[in-house]
Amino acid sequence: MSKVAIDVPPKGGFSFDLCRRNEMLSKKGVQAPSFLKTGTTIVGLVFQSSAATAAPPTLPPPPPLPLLKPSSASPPPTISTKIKTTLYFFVPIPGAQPHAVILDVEERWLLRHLRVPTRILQRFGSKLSPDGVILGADTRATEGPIVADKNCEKIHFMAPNIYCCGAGTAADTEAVTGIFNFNVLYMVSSQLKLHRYHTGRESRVVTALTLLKSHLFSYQGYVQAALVLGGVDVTGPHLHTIYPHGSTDTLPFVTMGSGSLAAMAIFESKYREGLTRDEGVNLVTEAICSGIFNDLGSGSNVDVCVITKGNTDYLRNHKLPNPRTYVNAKGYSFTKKTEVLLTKITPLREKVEVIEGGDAMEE
Amino acid sequence: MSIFEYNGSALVAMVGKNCFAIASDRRLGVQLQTIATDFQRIYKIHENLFIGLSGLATDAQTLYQRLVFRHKLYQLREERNMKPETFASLVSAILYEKRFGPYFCQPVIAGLGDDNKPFICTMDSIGAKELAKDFVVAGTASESLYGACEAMFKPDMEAEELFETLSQALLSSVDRDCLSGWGGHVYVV
Repeated sequence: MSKVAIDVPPKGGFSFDLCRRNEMLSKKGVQAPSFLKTGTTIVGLVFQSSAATAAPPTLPPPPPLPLLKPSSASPPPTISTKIKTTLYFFVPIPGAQPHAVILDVEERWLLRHLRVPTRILQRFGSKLSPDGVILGADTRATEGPIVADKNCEKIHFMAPNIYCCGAGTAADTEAVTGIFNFNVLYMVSSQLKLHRYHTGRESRVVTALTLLKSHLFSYQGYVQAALVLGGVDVTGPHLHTIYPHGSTDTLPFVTMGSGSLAAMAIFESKYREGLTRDEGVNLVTEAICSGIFNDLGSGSNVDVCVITKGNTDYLRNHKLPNPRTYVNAKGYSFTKKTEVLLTKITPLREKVEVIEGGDAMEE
Repeated sequence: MSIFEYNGSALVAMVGKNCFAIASDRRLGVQLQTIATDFQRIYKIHENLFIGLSGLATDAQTLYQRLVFRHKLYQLREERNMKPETFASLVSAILYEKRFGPYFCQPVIAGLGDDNKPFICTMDSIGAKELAKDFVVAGTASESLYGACEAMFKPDMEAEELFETLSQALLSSVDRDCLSGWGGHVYVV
């Protein structure tokens, strides 16, 4: 039997059949086509509003309460004039709101002899706010100078607790994060799913990170996908950037894409540790908006994805700062009708009706 | 000179109310010389699914033959037609396979899914899908087509109005492009 060159490659992966022909064409002066780029602004941010690390800026000064003399068990140590500290003494008044004061090292040392009820030294707030990762992206896809898609999705799903934003060539970011049956190994999202079935556990962000970086490195930068990968797994929230050649960075806040400088300017000035979820979302939105308005390659709307332990909120089109301003309600009316040369109407076939109980067959 | 300007093409698809329409021009040229004025760029995959292929005509025909082959295999295995979204993923995968030596083709896919919900999408030559809710364009006249469609499109048009809008958009755009023209083929489903 002759070897038929069948369409389905047995092993998957890239096929280089047409390279020779394309090279011949380019030698004849024919330019290669430009690909759809997602020249973008993509950002990521880790928020951890556990108050142990937070300096609550809006903490009101504690009201003046009657001083409680220290117990006479031992005299308080001498306070050197160089250390200027303020010691607050509280009397627990029933019904009063629990105040808290974050004491630094010297103050705690000075108070060590006092018998202070421990609940006064509780952290701010009655429960810890959850930690997580917030990803943001704009929604413009460009083809050279033309906007090809005004509302595309750049935040791709990898696992229920891991999302990835992509910048660079659109096909590369979609393929590398997607579920194409593409290589001997499938793409990362399907690989992660198979791994989840195999281990019976939630995927970890570092797993996705390693899969992505090894794939990109093996193509030596020719697969032009720059990614921001974020997620929350059992070990906590993680945020990484992956460059097209395969290098990665792990940071508390990141920006990528053509609008990255504009977004990073916002982050550098306004990021602090201990943001709450809402503050984080606002900061991310502001950073993306700064990329949208100051970078020509980014535009349209803002997409935000908030990932916390056990929950993911994908806020598609969270902010629409570029609505279509002048819309003619009447629409376009055509004065001259189109001249139709030939009309052919083909009614679509009716489905065949299956009649049960074939009496004819029984005879 | 770009490879897409070798043959010249104009393709556009629009969504209406429970219907879609896909249109192409009819010129086939070799750079500036016209060799055919009735060239077919839109192919039927099954009753509710059409694909238009712009760009280099030879790659368009080869790609069409491959896609028909894959779809027929699918029909034999699954005993039903492919859904438009599935078909779009198939085309995207076939194009991305040739990432480093691509087909010089930009497909426009239009189909009716379940419940007569129209689906349109386009891709660049390496398979980056662009789903749209209103219209998609491809070809040498794409810049004019973007402008014309943006101005003339209205959501939820019925079939008659959709046909009129689409053909007016196509004709006015190809009039401004020397590499496409000679009328148009419109399929309304």
